[in-house]
Amino acid sequence: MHRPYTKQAFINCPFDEEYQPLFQALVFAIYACGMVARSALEADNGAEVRIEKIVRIMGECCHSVHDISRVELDHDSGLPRMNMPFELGLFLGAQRFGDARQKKKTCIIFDRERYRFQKFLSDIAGQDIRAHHGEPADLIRAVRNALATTQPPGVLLHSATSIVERYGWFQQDLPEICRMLGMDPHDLGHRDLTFLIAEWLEVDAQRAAKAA
Amino acid sequence: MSAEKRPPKIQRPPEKGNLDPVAVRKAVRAVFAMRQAEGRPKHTRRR
Repeated sequence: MHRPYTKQAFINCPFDEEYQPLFQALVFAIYACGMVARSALEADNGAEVRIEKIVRIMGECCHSVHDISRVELDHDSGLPRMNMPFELGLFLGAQRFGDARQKKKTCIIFDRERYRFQKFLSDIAGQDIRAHHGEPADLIRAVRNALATTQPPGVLLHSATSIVERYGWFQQDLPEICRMLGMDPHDLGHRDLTFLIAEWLEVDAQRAAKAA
Repeated sequence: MSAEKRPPKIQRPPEKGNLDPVAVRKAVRAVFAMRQAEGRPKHTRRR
């Protein structure tokens, strides 16, 4: 689905199973705010170098959500996970040094606790870092409230409470929708998930419009 | 090619293995209807 630059949001977060509840909430919040969620997961083309893919997608996104809460030692290697801070730096660099379009970029940065980042990424002290405490509802509220400030004058987003409520219902519905379609709700790719979220929100919006 | 020899137009179904977007929409609608029957409001309140 093609959307204008200002309606695309880049997601920079962990993609492992443990993070899935927050990832789904994040994608849902972005779509519920009328935007498209983009991430490195959307294209799995072995011919495209990973960093090129990330740069290409970042270049197409005006907005971004970065979660640096999982900059921790990898269980297997014992080394820190640097991809998220690296991609945050790349995005800030595009915003700082890019052309007029890239200078419009906005960032929402999350950590588990609000001031924890100062111990490992003090260069971004002064940025507004939000805490999600590992809670999908907190993440949705913060994303919605931040994206609301990027809207043109006179455009109001649905309230955070409404989006949190709808996310709860979507979560309830997803296994049943997947069952009907012969899909595994625990093994959805980025495109599968975004498609199902967009469809669910569209049907919800149609029902709301009919009832109005 | 004359009309007689022209092969009939085929409405292509979704590629085998691909999900039909119409089927997805139907499934989502069906689940909404099911939840409504279970007592969920017809749609979320918009505030």
